[in-house]
Amino acid sequence: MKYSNELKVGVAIVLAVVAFVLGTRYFKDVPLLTGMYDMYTEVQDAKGLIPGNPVRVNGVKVGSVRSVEYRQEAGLVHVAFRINNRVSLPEGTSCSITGIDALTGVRIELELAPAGGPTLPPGSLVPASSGDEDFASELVARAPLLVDRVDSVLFGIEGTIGDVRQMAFDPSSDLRMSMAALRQSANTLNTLLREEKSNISSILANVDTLTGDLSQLTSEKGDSIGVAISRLNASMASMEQTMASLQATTTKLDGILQRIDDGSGTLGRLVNDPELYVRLDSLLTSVDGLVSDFKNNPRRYLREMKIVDLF
Amino acid sequence: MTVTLPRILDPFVSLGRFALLLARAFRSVAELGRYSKNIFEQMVRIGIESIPIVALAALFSGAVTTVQTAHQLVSPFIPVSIIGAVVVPSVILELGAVVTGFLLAGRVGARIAAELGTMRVTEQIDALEAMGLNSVGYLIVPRVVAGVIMFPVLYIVACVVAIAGGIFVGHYTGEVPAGEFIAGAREFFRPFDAVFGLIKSLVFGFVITAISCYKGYYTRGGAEGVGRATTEAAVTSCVYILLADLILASTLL
Amino acid sequence: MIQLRDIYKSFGGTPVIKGATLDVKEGETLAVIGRSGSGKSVLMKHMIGLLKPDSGYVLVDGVDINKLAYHELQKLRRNFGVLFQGGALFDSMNSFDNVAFPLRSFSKKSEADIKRDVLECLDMVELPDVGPKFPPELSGGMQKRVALARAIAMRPRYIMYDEPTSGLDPETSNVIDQMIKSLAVRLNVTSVVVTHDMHSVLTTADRVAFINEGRIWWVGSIPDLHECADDTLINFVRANEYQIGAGGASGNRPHQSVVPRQTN
Repeated sequence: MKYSNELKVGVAIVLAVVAFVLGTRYFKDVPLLTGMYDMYTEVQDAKGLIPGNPVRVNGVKVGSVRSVEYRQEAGLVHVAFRINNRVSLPEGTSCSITGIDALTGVRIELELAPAGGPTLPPGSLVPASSGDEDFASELVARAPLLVDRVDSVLFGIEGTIGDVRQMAFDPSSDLRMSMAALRQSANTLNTLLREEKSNISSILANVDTLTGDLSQLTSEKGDSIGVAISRLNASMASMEQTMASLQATTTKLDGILQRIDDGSGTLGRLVNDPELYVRLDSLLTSVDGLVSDFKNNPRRYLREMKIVDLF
Repeated sequence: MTVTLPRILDPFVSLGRFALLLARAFRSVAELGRYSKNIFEQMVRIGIESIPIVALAALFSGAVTTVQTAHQLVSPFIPVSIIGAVVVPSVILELGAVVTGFLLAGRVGARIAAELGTMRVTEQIDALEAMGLNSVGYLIVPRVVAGVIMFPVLYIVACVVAIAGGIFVGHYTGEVPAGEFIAGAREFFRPFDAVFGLIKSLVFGFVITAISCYKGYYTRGGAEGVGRATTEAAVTSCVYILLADLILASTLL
Repeated sequence: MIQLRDIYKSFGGTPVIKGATLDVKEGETLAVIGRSGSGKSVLMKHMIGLLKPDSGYVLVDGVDINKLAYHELQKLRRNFGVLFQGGALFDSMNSFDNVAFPLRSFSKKSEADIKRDVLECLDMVELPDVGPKFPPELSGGMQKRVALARAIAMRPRYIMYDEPTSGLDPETSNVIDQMIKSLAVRLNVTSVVVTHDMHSVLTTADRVAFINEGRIWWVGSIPDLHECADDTLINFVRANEYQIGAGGASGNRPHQSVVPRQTN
């Protein structure tokens, strides 16, 4: 089948026009086929809002800004926007302009009044909420200050981390040495206790015999010895108690040392895992780099955040 | 009585001849209805038959722009959606119209110059005139009108394909998910960009077809002359596309 | 009636026509002869306003064609049929459409009538079957005949032939010459034949105009030509004669009466 030139051209032009209209609507974020209606609001500060910026309800895009113009007689900015037909605004709905220009994009955020009441007719005013300044604008206002503080904090962190790293890696550092010492003494204590356990038992056995002798002696020697024995007994009991608590302490210490040895817990990791050192090291290097870069070219980061626009 | 003009005035003579030819063409627009068959034929030749090559070039330029923009984005602070916000306006403002323009300066411009040049050296243009037909109305007006109407169509094709190519490549190379790309593009989309692109393509369509018609219509010197006219048409069109691009950007933006 | 009065024309500073005055009388066939590059074709193009003289004027039926508005000139040109040197058929159309082209452009005839006219014209040039063929598929002679059919499609009052036999073999040249002669009678037209081929001149022309050095050097009827004593013209005719006589197989035309001086 041969198509006439007129048909080919006509079809091409129609398709192009459709593509143009739909494409423009698509990127304008206007629904391709469903209708929209106009609303407007008046605000003190448009915060860089431009036509095409989104209008959202609870973070969902429902429309877009059509025009933003300053009206001198009222001293207010008149913002016209369109909303998808599917969304109706109950009376009492308010709106606010939020977001940072070019960082997250400025937008209108609608705060819908509870449904059920009468809806605002198309073309009517949606009052701007007089509520407190939102976080973003506050952030913008304080940005310069904040940046300074972030800078100094980062600087401090850098120093601290540098020290820690140095201590962790320098074999002669205090931390390193005290940890080594701690470990050593713990080990010594452990061995000591293990080795002397039998001795202690035999000492105790000896004491027992001695006590038996003493009791014999006591029965022979009457009450003075009896008194002495009971005294000795008491002291023995208290000594036994001390021994028990010593034993418990030793066991606990043993456990702790065991865990350190196994490598569980931060100290253990620190002590046993060389990879952690490496990772910590690389982390610190990147932080270091970032911070020095930030210090050297703060403008670069600031420009990218568009905060520089505020100065 | 002939005055031989110094050669330095040649460009002015050429410009004057070009302007007079255009003036004749404008006067002939009234006869447009008479040549409507011709116009549709030229629209098919200039427009419809150029769609595949324009689409191909647009596909690659869109894809390359996306990949290169992604490549240039190294800072982790910048969201990848910026890629969409860079690629779409570049395509709509510049690439769509200029890539199409360059391509068609070669394809359409050379063809027009060769056609008209051959008609000139084989006296077909004289034959038209001798019959009492308006050769400008018959040959030039349909080509220029077809160019002015079809270039915006080709521009739209180029934009759609280039953006689609950009989204596709960005998505499947993992540089930027399609959703992010579109979100970024929407964030910074200005409808005027698209209108401006359309205006550009319309002007380019006029520049290419008018220059090529001029070069072809005033061809001299047989086959060699046709060759020269063809080359000049393509090259001159490209140069004037760049010039027109600059002028439009500096006046309208 | 076409009258050229004191035409001057130069191209890029080189004068080609330096004061030409010539009348083409109603109903006659005038041959314009001269060397290649002598300005014969240039003179012919002045007659239909394709070229404008630097000075002097051209009257067609008493009207100065260079004072006409463009659309009036266009209207006037419809009285002319022109056979260009290479035929100048439109490459984009087949033979039928080429012949039909002026009819479709200017007449309000129905397509059926146009078809009848086209076939009649193609018949007159004895090529009734070439309609669907495109110009490149035709031989040089056939192209010229189709072009001739196109030239007569609008039933012009004047037919201009620009080198109708150049580049053709002698036999085809004869066919064309016979056609020019018969069309002049059949269509009752005034013809101007620009040529350097003396055979054409003798076959077709009533009168001859010889152009030399940018001027109309000699004008006269065929019998006058035979009596002429002008050396330059004699040399031109002789050169032609010699060419024809010496040409043998390639040059000499069969069934063709001989050159003037010999016949007389």
